[in-house]
Amino acid sequence: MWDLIEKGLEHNGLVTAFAFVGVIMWVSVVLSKRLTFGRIHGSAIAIVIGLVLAWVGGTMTGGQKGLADLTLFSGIGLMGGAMLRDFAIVATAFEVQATEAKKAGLIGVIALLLGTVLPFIVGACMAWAFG
Amino acid sequence: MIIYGVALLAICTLAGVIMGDMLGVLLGVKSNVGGVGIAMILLICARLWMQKRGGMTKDCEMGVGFWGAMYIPVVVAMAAQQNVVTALHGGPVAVLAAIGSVVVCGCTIALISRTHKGEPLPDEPTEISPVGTPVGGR
Repeated sequence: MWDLIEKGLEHNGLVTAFAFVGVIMWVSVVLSKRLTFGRIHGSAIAIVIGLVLAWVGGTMTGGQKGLADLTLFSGIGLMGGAMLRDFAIVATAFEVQATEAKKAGLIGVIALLLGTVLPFIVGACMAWAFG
Repeated sequence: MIIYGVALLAICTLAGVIMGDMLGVLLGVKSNVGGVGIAMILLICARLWMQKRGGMTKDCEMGVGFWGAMYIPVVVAMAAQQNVVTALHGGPVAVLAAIGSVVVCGCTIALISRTHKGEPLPDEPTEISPVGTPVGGR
């Protein structure tokens, strides 16, 4: 019975990945609402869950690709791969409305810049501090 | 037709990636230089141009909008296949860097929202997402 299910999931790897990530997103949105009262965005929790799962997958298989090393979740590798990633990133540019961006104004631009620069500085400082 | 939107997105992405590769060859770097950025600019231009000519239908926009909304799930899938075990084995550097950047960004968010009374809600995701990625990046 389990063999049959597993075979079905493996053959439809990408579809399995969609379902799996959907469940992760749902769980994290619920967690975000219940535990943090919406203070921490659901997507941030979902990414953390993803990293934890990657650790679990990595320790289980000893591979390099986190959860994607399990044949059951090989579809995750395709979904989070370079191809779909670039495709989705480019699509986000489409939602940028010039008028909306103007509303956020200078403070929005500063926030965006700081959001990119600050983690980089911290990372560089850590790397320098540890040699 | 939704496929028009998806096709437009695909063409822009491909054109951007190819141009980025060409730029890489010209500059003598063996990688893609700014391909995704070029693709984004192309897509925005294509949209403005199509809106002016009235060729942009609701369906067409949906075809692109769907993939834009799929970005976060794709990032989650990306996080799920990072080599976390080795990153953690590399010592506390990665973890410290991640925690440090989260703390600094949190302080900055607090600072900005104190100094600027307004409707800064839409900024939230842009501040949070770069925090999550450095962990995977290492």
